[in-house]
Amino acid sequence: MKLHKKIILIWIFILNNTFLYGVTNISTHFPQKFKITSLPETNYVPLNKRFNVTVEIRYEGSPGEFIISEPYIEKFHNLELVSTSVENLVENISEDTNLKIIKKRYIYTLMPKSLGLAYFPKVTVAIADRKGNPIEQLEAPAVPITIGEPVYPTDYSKIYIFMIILFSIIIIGLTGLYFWKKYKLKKEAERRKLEEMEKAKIPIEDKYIKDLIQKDEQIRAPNQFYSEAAKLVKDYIEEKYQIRVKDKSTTEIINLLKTIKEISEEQLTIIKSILEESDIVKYAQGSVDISRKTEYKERIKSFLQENISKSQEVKNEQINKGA
Amino acid sequence: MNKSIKELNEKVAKASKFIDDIKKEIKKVIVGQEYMIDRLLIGLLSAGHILLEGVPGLAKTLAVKTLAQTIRTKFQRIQFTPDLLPADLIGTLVFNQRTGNFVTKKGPIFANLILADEINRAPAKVQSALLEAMQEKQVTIGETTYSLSEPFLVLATQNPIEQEGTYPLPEAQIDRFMLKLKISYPEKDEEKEIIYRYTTGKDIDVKPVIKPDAIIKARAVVNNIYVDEKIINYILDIVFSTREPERYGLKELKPLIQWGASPRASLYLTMAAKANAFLKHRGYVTPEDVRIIGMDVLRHRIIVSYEAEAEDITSDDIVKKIFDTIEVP
Repeated sequence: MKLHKKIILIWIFILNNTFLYGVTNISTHFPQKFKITSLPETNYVPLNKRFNVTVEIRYEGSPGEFIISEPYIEKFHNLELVSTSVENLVENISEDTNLKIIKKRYIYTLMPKSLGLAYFPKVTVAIADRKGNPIEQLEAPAVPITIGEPVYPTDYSKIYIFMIILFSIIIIGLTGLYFWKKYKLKKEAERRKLEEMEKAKIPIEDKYIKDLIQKDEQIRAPNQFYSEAAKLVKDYIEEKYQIRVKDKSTTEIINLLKTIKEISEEQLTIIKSILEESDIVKYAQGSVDISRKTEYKERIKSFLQENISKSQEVKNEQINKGA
Repeated sequence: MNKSIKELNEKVAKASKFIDDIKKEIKKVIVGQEYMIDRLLIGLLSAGHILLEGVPGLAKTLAVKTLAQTIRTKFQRIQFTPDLLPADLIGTLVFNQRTGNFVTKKGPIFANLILADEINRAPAKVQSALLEAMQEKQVTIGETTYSLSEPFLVLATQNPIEQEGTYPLPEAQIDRFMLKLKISYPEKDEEKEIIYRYTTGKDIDVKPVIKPDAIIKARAVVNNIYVDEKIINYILDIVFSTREPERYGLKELKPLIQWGASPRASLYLTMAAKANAFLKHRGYVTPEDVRIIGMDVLRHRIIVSYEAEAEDITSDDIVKKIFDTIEVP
């Protein structure tokens, strides 16, 4: 390629780049389109609550470059203007340019009038240059706002009183419960004491005699009766002498009873004969007829009855000793 | 009483007369130790081998020897040592140079009453040979099997002290013993009597009471002793409570038992209870028979857990708790 052609190509390249740089820079110096927004903080407002609607006018340029007129607002629909405030804001676009974003905000505090639909009306703003020549007229459309049922805020100042009342009720309730339970326990103890006193009057043998008669009537099979009667005697021994005998064999029971002073040799012989006879019936398929069954029942019954009179004698002796 | 049981009762009373004579003869030699004597007889009557545990000098060997004398049977005492071989116990084949044949030399196990002294001192193979003979009641030497003569009863002793260098019997082997007895020291009065009896230098003469055949016959009578279903259920309740204690209101025993008693325990408990009834000249079993022998049948069949060992709870404590809880039928 010839030199002059190279020079021409370089020159075209330089020219082209210079043009592109100029276009880019110049375009940033032109002011952006003016913009207006009308923005309520919410589209649903309770009837008794104030709310704000912000009308913002913005452009890119330098502060004071344009004159922005006061917004012209049509009549409020179902809304009452409470107050208005104005804010001027200047924000840098970038550090290497003088261009800034100029914002002017009008904040309208409004109060709804009645339930239903309300409108923040159309807003009109006029823009003029420094000399007052009109440039543009901006318009923000009307904004619908729904007015709902009024909401009343919780009054936290009264919660302490509520808490104190609640706490007092709980304390009173628990105290009442405590005393009521104490009263009930006392009553229960008194009832038990009375019952025990009543029981003490009735010898325990009576209960076993009743049981024995009942068993004799109910149980037909003599073998089963022997088994039940021996069990009854063991229950009686357990209650009367406060010892456990159900887990013991006849010999062990007799040996244990030998250690109890209250039991006479005669009683011991009777108990032994009752239990041993039952053992033969239970473990050796002892054959029992009705007459023998009756005799066995009578033997247990008389043993229990004798024990009542013996207990009575002991009680009388104790009373006499005490006297 | 049922007619057949009444007859059985009479039969037992008649057949068991010799028991008092045996006891009388043994008591000539042994002072006290009635617990051990009764159980030796139970083992003899129900063909159940016995493991004796007790410190030396408690007349264990003397009691067994005397028992053997009273029933005219052959008695052998084998001292188990670490160098003992199975052949030393059961016998071996010996080469006869004159005839050029092998002849059988029977070991000391060919006796009626065997006292395996300190069984835990011999190695496992010797223990195993003995326990196998106990179970099978026969011994094989070379290619020939020899039956052991009845009555055949092994009484093995274990020394609870000096456990170093011993071979403790595995649980499976211990299970083969019907009873495990814990022999305790004699009472003060009894020991006084021992002094009087054994410091005069006089020999005590023990008379044989019966022949071994009578024991075999007595065993047949023992086997026929009546056991009511209630007693069987009682035995089962006791054995099952070692396996599932929570089902019997013994929840607290659950963590203390690692393994409960095997079905062999139910069998041996029934057999031993029958033998005890025989000792009492009775033709039927009562819960008392079960309770008397229960501890000796069960103590070596319950394997306690580590938790129980840590708390120093033995199988004896567990068995006692079971017998104190399960209601007698």
